[in-house]
Amino acid sequence: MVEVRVENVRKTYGRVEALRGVSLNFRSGALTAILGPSGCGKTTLLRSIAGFIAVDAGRILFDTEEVGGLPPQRRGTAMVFQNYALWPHMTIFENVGYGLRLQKVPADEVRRRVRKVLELVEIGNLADVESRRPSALSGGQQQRVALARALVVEPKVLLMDEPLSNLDAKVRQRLRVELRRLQKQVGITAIYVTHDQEEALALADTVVLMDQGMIVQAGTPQEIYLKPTTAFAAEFLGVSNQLEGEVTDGKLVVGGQSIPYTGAARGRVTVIFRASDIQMEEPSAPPRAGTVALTGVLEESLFLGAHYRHYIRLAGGMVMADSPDLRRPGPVRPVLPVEKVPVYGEQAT
Amino acid sequence: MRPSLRIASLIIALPPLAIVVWLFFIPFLSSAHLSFLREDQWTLRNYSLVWRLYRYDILYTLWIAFVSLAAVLLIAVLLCGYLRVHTNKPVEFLFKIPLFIPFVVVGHAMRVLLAPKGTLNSVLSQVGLINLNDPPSIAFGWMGIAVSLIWKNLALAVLLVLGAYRSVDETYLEAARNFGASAFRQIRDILLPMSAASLAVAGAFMFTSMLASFSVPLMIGSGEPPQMVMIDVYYRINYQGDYGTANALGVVSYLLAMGVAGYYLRTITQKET
Repeated sequence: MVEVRVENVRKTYGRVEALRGVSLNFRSGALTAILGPSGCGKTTLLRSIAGFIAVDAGRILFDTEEVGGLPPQRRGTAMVFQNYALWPHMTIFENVGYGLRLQKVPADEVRRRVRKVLELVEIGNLADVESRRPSALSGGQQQRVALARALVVEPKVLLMDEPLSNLDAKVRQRLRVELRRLQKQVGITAIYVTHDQEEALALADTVVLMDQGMIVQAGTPQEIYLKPTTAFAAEFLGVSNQLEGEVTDGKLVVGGQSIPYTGAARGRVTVIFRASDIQMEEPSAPPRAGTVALTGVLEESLFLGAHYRHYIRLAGGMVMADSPDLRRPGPVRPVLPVEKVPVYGEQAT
Repeated sequence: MRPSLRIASLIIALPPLAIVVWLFFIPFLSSAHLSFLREDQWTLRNYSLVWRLYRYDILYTLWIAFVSLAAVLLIAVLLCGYLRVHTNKPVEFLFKIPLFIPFVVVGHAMRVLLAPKGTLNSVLSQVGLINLNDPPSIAFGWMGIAVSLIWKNLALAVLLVLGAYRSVDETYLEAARNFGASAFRQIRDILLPMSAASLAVAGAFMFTSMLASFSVPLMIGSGEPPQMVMIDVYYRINYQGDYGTANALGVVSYLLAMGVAGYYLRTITQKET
């Protein structure tokens, strides 16, 4: 198990800065998810670690060994690709055993290790599957084979580039659990790139959020989800409500209401909160201490299966609130606990 | 399909179809017909002449076409593999230059280069490798024709094979490189098998073109038997006015090319279905 360290890594494509001085530690034996929108630099970072891209500046270390100048095969990484990249002209057995054959492992040993790893990824009927071509397998099975191909060479670091994004939702959720189980079982240092926040939170020991070639926030899934440090982080992590406001003289003016504010932000601010944190009260209900009460009109409620989603128009915009019960349209008071109303200054976004 | 669409499709398909019928199918039928006639009598004498006089020329033509094709494909497979793995635009351009050079010019250039007292031998004699009083000659024989055809066709091969290689997604190569596959292993294990159908099609194109070579063997051949088949057709018509035997030679050439064309058609229809 190795620790991967990235120090002040920069990469530029023409005039586009894909990585702008990224520094990060990937804990040994842990699964780290790099999360971010398209074009944020997450895949560039992964491919730099793999050795497919030469960085312009900075260092990449596996424990104490600097690997920045080494070709991909000498870094001891194995990559799982978004499109699986299984060679269509080879059988499953040949695909999985290819890396071992390149290492000149004896044929008997190749057979033993390929079968073992295919059992590990629970491919199903081994005798039947190993002689088939990739096109004869389902997407989920193909991704299991791709994972087996990467694991069979016993890499120091497992790199995964959106490995589940080509699969349908049901298969993706099942494979997510199995990926987690496999990574823990093998105990390998794994880096997982995704744009799906739910996937990152469910899978990872550590989540790294990236935007515009920089790291926005890194922490445990709980920290990232519950305490986003910027408006971008909050918005990207699915915090669904966003209101513009202003802080002046110890007061936060938001949604047509002025409330006491003791935080650091000043001037124009963004207030971001979850739909699930809003409680809806009657407009005539007395105000409660430690809450922020807004004034609005419930316009519409949609049934989403597990709960209803209510659309409430405020003076400063529209917010969404989730609750288990259906409510009639009309005046309503959305109420939020003060600690669940993070305020972000403009410079933080 | 709606009737209006069907009519529109037919109108679109009509011009190329008419060209094929007019320039290829009718001349072929006419040629096949004339190959069985001699002094207005139905006969197999033209074919017996072909067998008696030209069977070695046919073998000679096939030999040159196969050797040249094998050499072109071998060079193109390795060269394009290298260019696919390590992009090198200037080298790629240099190899594509012969695309823009007519066959006649290729023939002349190779005469100048490969003749007994040509440029190549002059250079070799300067460095003491050969004696110009008794110079070896690559020109005026099958090797000269093959070298010319290889150089000329390599450009087309590079165009087609590189195109096929470039349609192989980069991740397939990265997956192999990740495990330590060298450039040669990436070509042999990944690029070549994944482009096999395109390679076969390129091979079919070049083989039929080589079978029909005329200006290159005329300019760089020995002028003595054995000759390539198209030269025989030319002499049969122009010097002996013997259209019957010329047509029989044409039909034989067609049959040689037809096997390859059949393979080509099967490959493209399999791809499209």
